[in-house]
Amino acid sequence: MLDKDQYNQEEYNNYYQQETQGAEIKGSASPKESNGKGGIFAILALILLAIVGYFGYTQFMGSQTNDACATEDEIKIEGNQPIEVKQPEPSVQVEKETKHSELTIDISQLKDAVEAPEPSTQVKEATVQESVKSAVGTDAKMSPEEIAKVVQMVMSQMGTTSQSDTTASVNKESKKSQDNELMSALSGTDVDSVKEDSSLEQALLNQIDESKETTIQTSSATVNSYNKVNVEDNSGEDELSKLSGQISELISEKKTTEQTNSSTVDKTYTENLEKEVVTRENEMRIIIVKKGDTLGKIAKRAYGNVMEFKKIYQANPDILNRPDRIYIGQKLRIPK
Amino acid sequence: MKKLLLLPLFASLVWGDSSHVIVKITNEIPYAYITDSGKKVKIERIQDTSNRITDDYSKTSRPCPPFCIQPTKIHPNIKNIAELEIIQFMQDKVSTNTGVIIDARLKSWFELETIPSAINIPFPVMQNANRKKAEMIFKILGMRIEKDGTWNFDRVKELAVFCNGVWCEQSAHFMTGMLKYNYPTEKLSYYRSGFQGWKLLGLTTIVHKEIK
Repeated sequence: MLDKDQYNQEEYNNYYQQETQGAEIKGSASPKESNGKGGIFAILALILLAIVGYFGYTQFMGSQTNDACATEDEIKIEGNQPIEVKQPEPSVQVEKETKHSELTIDISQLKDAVEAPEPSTQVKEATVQESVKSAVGTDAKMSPEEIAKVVQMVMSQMGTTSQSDTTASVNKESKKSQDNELMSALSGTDVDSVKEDSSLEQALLNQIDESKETTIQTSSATVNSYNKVNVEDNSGEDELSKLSGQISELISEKKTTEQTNSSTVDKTYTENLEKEVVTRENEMRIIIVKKGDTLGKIAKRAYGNVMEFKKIYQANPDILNRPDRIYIGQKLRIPK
Repeated sequence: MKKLLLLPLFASLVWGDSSHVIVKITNEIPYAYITDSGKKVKIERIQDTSNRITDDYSKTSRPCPPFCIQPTKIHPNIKNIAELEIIQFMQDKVSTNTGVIIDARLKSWFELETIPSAINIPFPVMQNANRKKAEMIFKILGMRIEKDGTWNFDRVKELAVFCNGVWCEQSAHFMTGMLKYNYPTEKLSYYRSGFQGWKLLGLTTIVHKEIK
């Protein structure tokens, strides 16, 4: 039979033992004892790390210089494209050897790298592969200059494919997928988080600045995106227009003659309605996009601050799929 | 036999025209046409299925009073109608000049955005109208004055009255003014969902004054 007191006592003893052991372990790391040898070991370890780090960094920088020309080309090519969002090219994978600055390129990987999203570009792929082979030869070992040349060729080929793609109407689907990618990326970030993340803001702003006139195309389809029809002149000859004209004439007469008689109307109600109208007018203010406009420029004009482009972007969810794509003739809401 | 052969052709033309409409008004009606200010206007719904209301009519709450939820019935004899009846009204009554859609909101609201083919008679105009002014308005709407001076409403136009929606009492004020001078209740219809209901369905709207 279990003696309860005895059991509790044993449990207490176990806890006590554990706690005292813990205290001893903690106590063993007292500063007085560790200051001696521990400090020296720590300093030695730091020096060792610094040396290893320095040599590692120099090696890394040596290998990076070989890729420098490729990244420059990447920027140039993508800059020529109308609204490409810069993304790291996943296609070209260069294996680096740690010794010296020699690099090995796997030709099969280069083949993968040139693979275009559409199956129809296999011919282009073959030509790229040929040109790569001619530049590389069959030997896998190359000097940094050769690697740079190869990468430059590959990138130029990819640039031409993407340029021709932008002009071709067949590429609408790939564009859409790019849009969807960006939209998913944008939708993934909440408004609050966008505000906090200054790097993302800067990136978006850069995109807007880069887009400039290249992104602006003529478009007439957006005029009726809200299903609004502008009928500013009431010069209809039909009976309804005449009736409307007669009524509005009568109303304007009434306004002048019955201003004093309006005491019966609840003035506060009318005043509240007028306030609502002001709110509505502020929300319904629009601008028409002109040549050379960007959201940033429009925001600067409307609010005096480029960063307010987000306000315009959020006020036009149906018209603007991306903040860097606006078109001439678009009517954008500019809430006050 | 020839007629039988031509029938599918015409049918294909009709159906082919409306086949691109994703968001129809009803299963049978993809869109409708009406004249507004002398211009032919196509009444359809916004085809973007991801579209959402973003402007003032997306508001859920306004101070009550004065913007309180309105009762369905303004008067026991005044019909309540909705969007389909309004479209039907446009085609049956407005296009044949036997009916008018009245926007009872203030002029500034009307100018910003309204329902196609609607004309504006602001509610204070009717609410404050004396007998003479009411007579002038009614005459425009088709009322005749008999020799003995009585008002004859036989050929008066049917009116479909709307304002901002269920939170708006302007239609009620307008109707009260009309009923004060015995405008026949059977000639009045109340579109209670109003402009907000119209906007909610993404139906075509008319802008008389664009804010730039």
